[in-house]
Amino acid sequence: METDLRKALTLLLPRLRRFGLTLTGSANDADELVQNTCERMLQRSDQLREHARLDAWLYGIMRNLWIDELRHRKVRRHDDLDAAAAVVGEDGQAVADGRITLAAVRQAMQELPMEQRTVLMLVCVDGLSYRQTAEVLGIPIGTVMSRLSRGRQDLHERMNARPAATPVTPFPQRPGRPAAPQDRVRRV
Amino acid sequence: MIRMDDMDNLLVAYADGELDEATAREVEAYIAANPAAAQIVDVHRETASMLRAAFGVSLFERPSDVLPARAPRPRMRFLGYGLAIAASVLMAVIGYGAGAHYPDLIVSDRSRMLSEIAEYHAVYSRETVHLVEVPAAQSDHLKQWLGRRVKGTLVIPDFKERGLTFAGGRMVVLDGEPVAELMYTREKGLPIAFCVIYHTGAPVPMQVDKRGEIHLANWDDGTHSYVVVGEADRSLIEGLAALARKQL
Repeated sequence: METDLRKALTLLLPRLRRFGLTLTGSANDADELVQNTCERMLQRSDQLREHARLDAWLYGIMRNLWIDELRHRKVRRHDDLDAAAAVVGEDGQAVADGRITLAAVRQAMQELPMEQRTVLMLVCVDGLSYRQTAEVLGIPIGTVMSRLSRGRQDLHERMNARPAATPVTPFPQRPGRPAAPQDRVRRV
Repeated sequence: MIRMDDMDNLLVAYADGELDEATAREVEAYIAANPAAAQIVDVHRETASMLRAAFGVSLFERPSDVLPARAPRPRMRFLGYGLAIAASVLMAVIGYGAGAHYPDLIVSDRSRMLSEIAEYHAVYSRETVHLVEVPAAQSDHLKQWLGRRVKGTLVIPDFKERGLTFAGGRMVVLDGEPVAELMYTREKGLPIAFCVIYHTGAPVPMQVDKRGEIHLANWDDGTHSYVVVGEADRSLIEGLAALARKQL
């Protein structure tokens, strides 16, 4: 059992690093967090059967460990952008050009609040459902949705930001929208 | 009727395919009557697509992660292909508009575009859950959405005679320009993509290049650039490109 878990964990390491960076914004912190998560998982492997997805379970552990760490540190954030660039890429010139590149996406992502980027990472990149994401983060599904909406809106606006220019695709107000009964909508 | 106060959340959930069928139909009706809402859904899809490309798991892999018994990851071969492909297409783009006089400058842009297409494709062609954003069953929506983004009538080539099945499409963004990427699966081998990018300039005849096992066919018709990219025999990629050109 533990051998299987170790193998599965090995395969998940890149994704854990990615989520670690999303949470911490620091390559060093991400590595340390992944290490602690692996240790915690092996200590609590008997709890795994309660969870449908190993990755979601591990993300939950990571998130809880990081919150504990932040409480201890009282939040001493590292240089997010430098860390992200060191981990994931080059394309510096393209960013300097103000053009939308993958590096610019990564940079814009790191500028978002942790709450938004964790939701974006779990849903958009890892492919977790809203329900799974809500369970990992311990928040209501409605909060997942609002963070996704706001986070993607912010991300888009950051990537389209140009000096002395208006956003390419603003999110316009929708005046005059009709009201409707709330219980008509079943979210997710 | 759906509650408008929830519309921001509903639009993002619609873009992610998280709504139940009845609510999704209501949101669709709302989108059809509200171009601003359609624009927001496009933005949500675009950002999701860019995030998946920007945070491909291969970027976080380390050699020490590989278990001894595990087969080599083919994805890794693609990471170094950017420059190789860029070099390989250099001859293909000589004569491309002003590039006839300033090949270094023009080739740089085009080669970077092709390099990124190869990188995107290397990531997406290995996706199982998220191979496409919009499935083939929603081809009409796909043509409308991506056609608008690449400023033209999007034609979805039929590659059935070559054994390929249209799976759907996604939008990627390269250097600020949207790219319509149509994905085709096959019985054996990784999916193959047909990419369309809005680009005006002198027409460029079809070129096929090879690096390792990757073939990449690209040409311009004066308003758009087209790329057939995939890890497949040259004859197949070349044949698909010829087939696509007939159908465009």
